[in-house]
Amino acid sequence: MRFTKGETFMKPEEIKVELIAPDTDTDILRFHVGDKPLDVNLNSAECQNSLKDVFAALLKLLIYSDINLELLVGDEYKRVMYVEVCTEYINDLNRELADVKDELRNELL
Amino acid sequence: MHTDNINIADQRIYINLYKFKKGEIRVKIDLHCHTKKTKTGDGKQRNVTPELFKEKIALADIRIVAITNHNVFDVDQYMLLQGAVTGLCQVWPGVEIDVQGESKFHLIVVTKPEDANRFSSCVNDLFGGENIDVCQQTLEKVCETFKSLDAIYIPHFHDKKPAISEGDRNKLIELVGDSARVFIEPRNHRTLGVLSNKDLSVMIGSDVKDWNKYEECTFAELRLSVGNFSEFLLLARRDRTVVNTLLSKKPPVDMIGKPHHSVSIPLSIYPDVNIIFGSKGTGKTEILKSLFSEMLGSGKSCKKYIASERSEDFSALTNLKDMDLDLDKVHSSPCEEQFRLIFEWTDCNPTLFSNYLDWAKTKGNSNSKSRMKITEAIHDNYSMSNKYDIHKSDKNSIDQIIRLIQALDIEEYLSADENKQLLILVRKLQTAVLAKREAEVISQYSSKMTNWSIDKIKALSDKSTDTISRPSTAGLKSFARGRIQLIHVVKTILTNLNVKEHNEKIRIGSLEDKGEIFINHKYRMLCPEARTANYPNYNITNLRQIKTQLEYIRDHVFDDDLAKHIESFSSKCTETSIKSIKPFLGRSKQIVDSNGEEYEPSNGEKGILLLQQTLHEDADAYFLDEPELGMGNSYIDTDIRPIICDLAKRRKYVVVATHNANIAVRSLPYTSIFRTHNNSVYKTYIGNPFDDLLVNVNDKDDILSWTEESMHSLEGGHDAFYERRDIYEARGN
Repeated sequence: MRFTKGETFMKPEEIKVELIAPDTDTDILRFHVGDKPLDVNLNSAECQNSLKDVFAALLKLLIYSDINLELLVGDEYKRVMYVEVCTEYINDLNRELADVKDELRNELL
Repeated sequence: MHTDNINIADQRIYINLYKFKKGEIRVKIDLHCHTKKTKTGDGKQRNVTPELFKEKIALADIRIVAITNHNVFDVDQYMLLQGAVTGLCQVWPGVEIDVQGESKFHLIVVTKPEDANRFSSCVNDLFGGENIDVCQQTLEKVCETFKSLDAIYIPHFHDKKPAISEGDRNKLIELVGDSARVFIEPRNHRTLGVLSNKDLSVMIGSDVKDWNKYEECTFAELRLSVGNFSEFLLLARRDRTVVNTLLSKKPPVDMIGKPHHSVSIPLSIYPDVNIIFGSKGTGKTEILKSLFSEMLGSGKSCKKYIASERSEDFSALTNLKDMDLDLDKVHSSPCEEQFRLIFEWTDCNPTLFSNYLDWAKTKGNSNSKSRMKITEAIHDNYSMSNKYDIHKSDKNSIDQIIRLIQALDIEEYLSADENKQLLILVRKLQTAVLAKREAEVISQYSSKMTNWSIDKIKALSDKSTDTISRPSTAGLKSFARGRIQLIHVVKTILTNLNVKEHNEKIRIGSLEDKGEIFINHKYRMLCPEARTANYPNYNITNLRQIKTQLEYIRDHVFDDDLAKHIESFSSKCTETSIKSIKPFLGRSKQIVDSNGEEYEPSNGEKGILLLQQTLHEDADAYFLDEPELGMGNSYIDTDIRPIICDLAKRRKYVVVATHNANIAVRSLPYTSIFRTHNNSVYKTYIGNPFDDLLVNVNDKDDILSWTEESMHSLEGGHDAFYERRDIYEARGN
């Protein structure tokens, strides 16, 4: 739901974030934001750049909508530590998205 | 005996020789001179012999004298005395009459030498056997008697007793019908100066009582030499004050005119109208330019109008040299700080995901660390208040206000109580602003210190336990704030680049059909309508590219390629040395009418506007070369000539090289410089309309008539002038 400056949100837009393991050496966080999902390979050195792309996409969305990231872990995913870390990580992201949304909208709207 | 045989030309020559000898004209005149005892009360010392008359006139250096005995005009004595000073001094016939008006007063009547006999008859008719000791004439009778003569009237005035009343003076002017013919005579030079400053026509004479002391008497000094009585009247018509007073003197400056760099002509230039005329190709423009340079070099402020250069000069009016890159004109800020922030901007990277993994892997390895819950803490969420910047600015403003108030001597303006109240209120305001500001700053710094402490404790604890603490942040907040700050900076610049234009209209003159014409100084930030010429020091394409980059950054602040655009913007700015928005301020000038509509004046109109502008600017001296070029004769006469004459009255040096008769003749110049060219021989003559002579500067015996040369050079010759007059009169009839 889009809004203009001064409006309040009725309900945040849910962004699904999947934790998947396409193979034994790869753990992916898949952010369903925008038309094309954005993947972050948690075991790659390029992970930080991929995260920047995800941040940018989330912030673009946050300008006009409240958003909430929802971590989805399939039954087939078995690495408990990654689940625990991603849960904490998504919580952190949700908190930080909430922290910056007003500043963002004040500047851009 | 007739007066017609008096050699006027000899007198003129003498006056001119005198002028060249002295450099400055000093023509002493005595229009109140007694030569015989006529009334009982007159002393015998008023009687003068021709020999003594000649001796004393020469000694006193008098050039014009009027014989004005009480109620008598002795034409025989007049002729004798005139003959005695031929070639030395002009002698005009006159009389001092006892008049009974509102009160008794003395009135001097003077006429031209040619009418001495007629004047004698008139005086005899007026007194007709009356006892001149006691007779009193009325103003009506006096004026009626001398009506047919070319006469001037000089009543005693103010402190010169017996003096005419103000009512009788007005009556005299009315009866004479020509105010230029009525003067007043005060007692001394001090009163003369005061009355002259009141724009009254003044004259003072010796009123000699003892011829042995004639040279010690008070005399007037004419502003310019005059050849005869008619020219004296011409001068009186031009300048209400014909005699020099302390303040009204118009001494000329000695200058060198250079028609060619190898030729120098000494000239006396008056703080009045000075005309250079003569046929084309005689170096008039060069003389004028050389005088301009010399006058400018002497420290006087000078204005110049050269008609042949009007097109270039008009173009110069629209160049941008006098328009500074002043952002205050458009109420804009230079944004130097914002440019610097963009140049130095870097993205904030997200926290490495591996930090989260390492934390998870080592979590629980240390019991003591597990008890230390701060190692699990995340960063404090401090966000600036909406009014953070406003309170910061208000704090600076109130501090400045207090400094300014403290610098004032308030007791000069306010009572002690008011002063106290003002200080109380200002201090109260300062305290309130400071409280807000303090709260925000403390909050900001405590948050920073908290976060620093969390990170520091985590680092120390990690080191001592060989574990990794929980990351304090995912990095999204810093990432977002870095970009929010960037967009804030970019928007500030763009806001200052989109301010309203500023226009300053400066009047340059008026045109008959278009009314008032102005030069509009337009200050405008870069916009689609901007032109290359608006940015003489910068490449407009580069400016447009930089502005486009800024707009792109504003609109794509969360795009992947933001860093590339920041880099591109910074490179372009560095390459073009742009560090603020100052270069984006475009300047232009337009010629507009009073409605603000742009107008392209014709060449003639450009001349008119430039000339008007030149003449309306304040200066000590004005130099005009062929002001008539491209302009109608009636415009020159009705619009330009009066301005020139007004400048002359204000004692400005006005030098005009012209072929226009209305300017050269009707302005009645103090000096006329006449240039001729014949068989490769150039000559320069100097004179003026008042003595009707033009004397060769290199040969004092080479004398031309000012009237004839003016008529020939400016009117196309005697025949052309009179033929035109006849045609106009015939049409008129």
